[in-house]
Amino acid sequence: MSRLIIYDIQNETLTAKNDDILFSANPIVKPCMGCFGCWIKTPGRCVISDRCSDIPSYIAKCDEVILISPVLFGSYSESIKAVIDRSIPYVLPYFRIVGGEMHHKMRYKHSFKLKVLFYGECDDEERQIAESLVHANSINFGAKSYEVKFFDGLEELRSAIL
Amino acid sequence: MSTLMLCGSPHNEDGNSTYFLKALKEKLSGKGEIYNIMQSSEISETAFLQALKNGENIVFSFPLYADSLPAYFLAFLKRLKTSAEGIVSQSRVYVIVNNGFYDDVQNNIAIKIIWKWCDKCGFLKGRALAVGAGGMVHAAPLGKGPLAKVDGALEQMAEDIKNGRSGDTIFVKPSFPRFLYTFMGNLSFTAEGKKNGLSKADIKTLQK
Repeated sequence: MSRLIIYDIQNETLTAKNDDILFSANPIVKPCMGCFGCWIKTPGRCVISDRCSDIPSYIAKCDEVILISPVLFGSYSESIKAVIDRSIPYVLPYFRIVGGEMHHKMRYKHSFKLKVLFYGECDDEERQIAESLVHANSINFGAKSYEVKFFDGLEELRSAIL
Repeated sequence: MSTLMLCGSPHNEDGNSTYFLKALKEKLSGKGEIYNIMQSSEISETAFLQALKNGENIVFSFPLYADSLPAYFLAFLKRLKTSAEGIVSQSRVYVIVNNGFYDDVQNNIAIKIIWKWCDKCGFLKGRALAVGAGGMVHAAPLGKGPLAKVDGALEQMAEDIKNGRSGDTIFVKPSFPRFLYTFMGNLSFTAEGKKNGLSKADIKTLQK
């Protein structure tokens, strides 16, 4: 089982285990420019060429995508969000209806489990926002399941992914 | 009093986010300044701090990216939290979010994130406007036909800003059937691909 682990942990590098693909969201990658090039110019791949360009194809190879992020106003950190924004070529531009709402059609037949591990200070409201955000992302990216966990510190979080 | 309007979209003049700010500015008798936070990051930050000190109301307009705020805009808000620390202000924050999917309700998470940011910074909340079916915003002039309701919502927001009022989120979209929106959206992606020499099968390419 291969996993893609995208993490935002300051001043730290995780070590890969087995087939894991590790991607540090730091330093922050260039932001999505909303150009749609990844849909209508270089389908499936972002037109910005940097270390983030391969993320959508990594997602397509993995059984599980794990995001590790501090909570920021109920959202992922800006660094994790930058990677997510750049991941939209994983899906097609075309529309479909899921659960009564509009979403994108899937590019790949593949599907993955989405697991998000948040850490750091956060209140109940932020937890609720973060949970609804991950749920919405799991639908948009066609994940087969999702799981959200909150950790006070990095130590217990680390044991959760090993 | 003037209103500060900050656009959180990478698109400048041609985007929906700026389009709404311009329309709002017109409804405020032109009393407002519009800046793009990506193109003029430092100017936007300085203007924001000055608006807080002056007690001017502030409007953020941005596109929904992956159910939430564009990363660059999120980073900007994080920075403002630090730079505005200690400033007590009467300014109210107003929000316009627009998405490309049909359903305006999908903007709600992004709005909650902005309000959370307001709470953490101690800013007063005004009102949010969630606009769906972004692809149809230019189907008619604002206020005409399918764009009548969107115009009405902007009118409401302008009144709120003038009177320093707050209120519940207004969810609105161009009046247009969903099946037609889906159909035309799908056609336009294929047409855009064709301009770049791509077939529909090319658009569906699987990356190795």
